[in-house]
Amino acid sequence: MCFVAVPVFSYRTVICIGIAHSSTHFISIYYSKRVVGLPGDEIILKNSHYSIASHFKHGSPKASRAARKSLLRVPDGHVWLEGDNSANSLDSRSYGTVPAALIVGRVPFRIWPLRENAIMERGLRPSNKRLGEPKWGFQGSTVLPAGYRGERIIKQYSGANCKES
Amino acid sequence: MTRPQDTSSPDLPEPQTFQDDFYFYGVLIYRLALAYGGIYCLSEYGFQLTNCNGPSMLPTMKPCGEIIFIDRLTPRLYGFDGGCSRGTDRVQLARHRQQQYQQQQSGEDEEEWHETESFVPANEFPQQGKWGRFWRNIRSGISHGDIVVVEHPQREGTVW
Repeated sequence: MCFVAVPVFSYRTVICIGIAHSSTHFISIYYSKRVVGLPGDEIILKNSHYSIASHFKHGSPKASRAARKSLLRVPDGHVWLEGDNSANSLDSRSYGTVPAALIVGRVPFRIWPLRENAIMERGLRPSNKRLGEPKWGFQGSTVLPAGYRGERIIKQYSGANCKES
Repeated sequence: MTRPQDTSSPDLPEPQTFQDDFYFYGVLIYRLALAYGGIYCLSEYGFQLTNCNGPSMLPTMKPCGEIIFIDRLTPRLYGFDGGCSRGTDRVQLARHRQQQYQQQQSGEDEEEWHETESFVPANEFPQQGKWGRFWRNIRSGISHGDIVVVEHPQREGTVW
């Protein structure tokens, strides 16, 4: 007998299989964080009593030795993740750099609820100028980008001719 | 001489044979495997929907009741933004870009570090050009400021 089957699926079958498959995915716990540091970036550890202005001399190519000890360089193939709510987040400040192989995917937008600004744009954590800075303030890490040598940082919006330093 | 009794009747269905049973279950298993395989490939290599719980991403995500879209395809395609997963390569690339920027802005102060768009807080972007930024972001690799979903590094079975 010739075994020929036409792949016609009932929508009920597909929905049931999809629900069963999704239920198995819920067993594995995922964490959603924001990428703050990439390989080569340097993280100023929060409890190191270190500041950029005190150790980076203007125009000096390298930081002092003491400053370098309080910096954490993100190794190759790893990322530094932090939550936007820095005061209440278990992230790389707790467990260190995360291998890039553990990244499941990227979150481009939100499906539900249908409130404003569903697109999750690429950028640093939302600043609290409009939202109101909490009493405990920002407790996240400061990240020095790869190749940074103590210059004045200029932020520039692409697509708009405005600068912010 | 008596005639043999005719047991076959055109009204009754024919008794199912082993081949018919095999065909039925074979088709069933085949279609189930195809449906499950399709959904698995879509959710493993394409995209996935999941819900979020926890206050760590406030105010971007609320502590409960949020369903997010996980894009699994583009990080696999592009990797890190710029294709550099090594720190030394990224340092060289950043300094090269910085030199190009300083040459372009030759009349200005050279002791400035030009940051990319990713270092601007997400809620301070101008509203215009939002879809253009979205389209550009999903066609590039993982960069600073992207929200990613990771498996917990301290879960059981993780090799450090």
